[in-house]
Amino acid sequence: MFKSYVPKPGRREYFTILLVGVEIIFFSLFADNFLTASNLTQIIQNSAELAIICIGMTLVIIAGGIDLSVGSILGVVAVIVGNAILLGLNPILIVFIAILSGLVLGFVNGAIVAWLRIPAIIVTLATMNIGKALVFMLLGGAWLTGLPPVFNGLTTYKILGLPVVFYIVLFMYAVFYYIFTYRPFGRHVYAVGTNPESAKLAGINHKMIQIATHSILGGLVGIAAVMYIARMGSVEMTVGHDLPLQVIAAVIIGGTAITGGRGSLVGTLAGVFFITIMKNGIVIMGIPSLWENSIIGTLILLSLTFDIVMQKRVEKKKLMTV
Amino acid sequence: METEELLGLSNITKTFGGVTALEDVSLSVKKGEVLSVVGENGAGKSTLMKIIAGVIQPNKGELLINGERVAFHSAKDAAGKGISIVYQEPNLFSEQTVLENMYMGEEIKSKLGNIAWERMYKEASAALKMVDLSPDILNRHMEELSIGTQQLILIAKGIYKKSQLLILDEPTSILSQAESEKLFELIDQVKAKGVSILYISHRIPEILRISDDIVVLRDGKVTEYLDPKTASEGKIISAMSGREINLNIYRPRNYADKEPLIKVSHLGNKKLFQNISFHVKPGEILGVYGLIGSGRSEVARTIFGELPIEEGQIEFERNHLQHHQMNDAVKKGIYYVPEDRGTQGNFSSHSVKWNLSAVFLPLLSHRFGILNKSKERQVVQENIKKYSIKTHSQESLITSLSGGSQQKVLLTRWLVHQPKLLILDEPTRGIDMRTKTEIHELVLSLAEKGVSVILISSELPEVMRLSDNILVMHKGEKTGLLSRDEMTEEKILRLALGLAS
Repeated sequence: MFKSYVPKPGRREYFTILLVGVEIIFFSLFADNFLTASNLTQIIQNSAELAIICIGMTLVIIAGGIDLSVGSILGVVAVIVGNAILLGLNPILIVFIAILSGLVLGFVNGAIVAWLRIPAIIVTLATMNIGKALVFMLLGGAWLTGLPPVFNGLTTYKILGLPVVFYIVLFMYAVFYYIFTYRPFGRHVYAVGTNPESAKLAGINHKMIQIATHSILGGLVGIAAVMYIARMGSVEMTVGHDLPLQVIAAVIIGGTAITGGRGSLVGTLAGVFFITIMKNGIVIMGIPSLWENSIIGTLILLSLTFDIVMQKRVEKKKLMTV
Repeated sequence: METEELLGLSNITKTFGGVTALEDVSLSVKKGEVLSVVGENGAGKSTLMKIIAGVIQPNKGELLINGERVAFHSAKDAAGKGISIVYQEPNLFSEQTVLENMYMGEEIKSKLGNIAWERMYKEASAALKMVDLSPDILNRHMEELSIGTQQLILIAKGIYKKSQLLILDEPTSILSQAESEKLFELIDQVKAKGVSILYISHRIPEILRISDDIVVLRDGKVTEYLDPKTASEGKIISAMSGREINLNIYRPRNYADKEPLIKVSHLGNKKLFQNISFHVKPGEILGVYGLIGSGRSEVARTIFGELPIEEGQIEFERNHLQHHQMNDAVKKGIYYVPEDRGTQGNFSSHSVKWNLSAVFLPLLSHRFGILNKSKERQVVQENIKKYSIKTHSQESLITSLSGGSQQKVLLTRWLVHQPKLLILDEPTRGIDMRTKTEIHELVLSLAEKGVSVILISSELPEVMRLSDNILVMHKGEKTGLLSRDEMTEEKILRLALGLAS
């Protein structure tokens, strides 16, 4: 399985893993109650939604795009799921509806990007705001509460001491590792992100890739929306507002190049844990949570600076070998 | 010996805008032969190759493969008929591995549709062995390899794909001597297997060595077929260069007794160019001629301060230029009109006015740097009128103008500053004849006013028409400096191709 010729993560990703290690050591030393079984289980449970969405965001960013509307998609789907629960629909049908509605919303983003050739950052900025208004409207200005605990088992039921959502995350990463590495589609996503012109000459349909990556992201957000309901038991007014920042931060810190063409799931998963552990540690250390977003923002900047420095070094090396 | 025809072209014509790139071209490639296409820059070789590879479509004429008429709508169509092309500029995915690059878009798949990495690896290793590359590099990222190695990898891919026809567009321009030798051996091997090769190169000795037939293109037309067994270097060069050049436009100027404005001595920059020396006097036009990759634009960009002065020195108005930067150059009166209008020159989403005035806004400002808008309009209008720039209004988008008018905007905007040294890089590429003449006229009149001009061009007639002296470069080296009395087309071409004159 790990033959040298199969594409694998680069050195950049190992750097993120190292970073997570340093972070764990830091909080173990300075935050009481960090290194306890219940807190670590909590971290894994809290990371599940982010982890699932980040798979899709990794695909989108590698293909050269971006999606700012993930929070709004999550909100809209969560409202749909909440109402479906109130209607007493079959849970399996609800999951199906969640994935499908996410997929459709993602498809809309992808279709506008590909067919109208509007940059993804603008399209999804627009759909993000439309989505926020839609959630507000659907909720009628109040939280959606009193949901029967149909999905609570996802977080409360434990196998080997770990919640079900952990195994769902594990399964999804395995599936997408396979897609990234062994399906032509996965490699074509990289190709389009690296060099769209060359991809065209190689007969790769880059519009199809853009639409597919956005749709897959939407579908994954649908799954995350079900997990959100399972965790919260309600839908709040500001559902998903911080999500785009966290998702993009996790993917970028995980080593995916914002310019496309480079990145891996291993790195993304490390990025997800980095963000979740940091949020958890901040709370335990009693730092006001309003610092959270500014710390994440700083980390994005540091990460991008690091990438640019590395890129410059590669270019310098290249110049020497011409 | 008559062999079967693999590819036939009849009466192919291709125009871009108003410019005819190919006119009524007919030729034939037999199975298992190497047909070389030679011609000066701009003769239409690359356009021809792109038509055969399906990348662009001709306006007229037809393509036959094995006697059957075909119409290619994309590169994929052509690939489906067994035509592969290796471009002069390697076309690749820099952040992916070599193995992925070799199979991108045409992966070997298992029954389940998975990528069969192991089978691809084995096949690719065999392909690389043919070009003497170790299979170890298959795991490396393309961006880590030298451009020559990248090129060899793509050639190996083209050969291994079991093509019927392999098009090589100046493959040796970025290969080392040893790599080139390897390529020639390979060409012999694949030829023996019945694969045909269309070969473009500027290097006459290698063409004589590997070709079975040589076709000469001149100004978009096939002018001659030459037999490599009997043709000499001289014959090929005169066939390439046999066009009429009207030199009447040139007017002698009196600059000879002046002190040089700029003196460049032993200028060098790593592997881009070495030991370049020349000087330009006020009112002199120095032509710089060389093939792509000769380093001519790089020399110009060094004078303009875009590239650092690594070796040698530049003296401008008797001062040594040190830590020379672009804004210093502009302050000193050195202006550069770049090669690529679209990406380096224009502010493409802005108006003609915006583009024209962008470089002289400080001259139009009130105190405290506030722009005087009516003055801006007035100066722009004067320029448009004076240089007959064809535009609907000054508010029209620059991209709505013809290529020639866009170039005039780029050129004339510097004139407001009264330049001392104007560097023009390919000032008339892709521009219609009339505007071209107007630009030539403009350049001459500038020189008459005492402006020094460095004119870089791939078009020999243009360089010969305007220049007082011509600096010829080949592979980063100065191969000659010819005065007006010495310059002949053949002489310049020989120097540019690196042949002894």
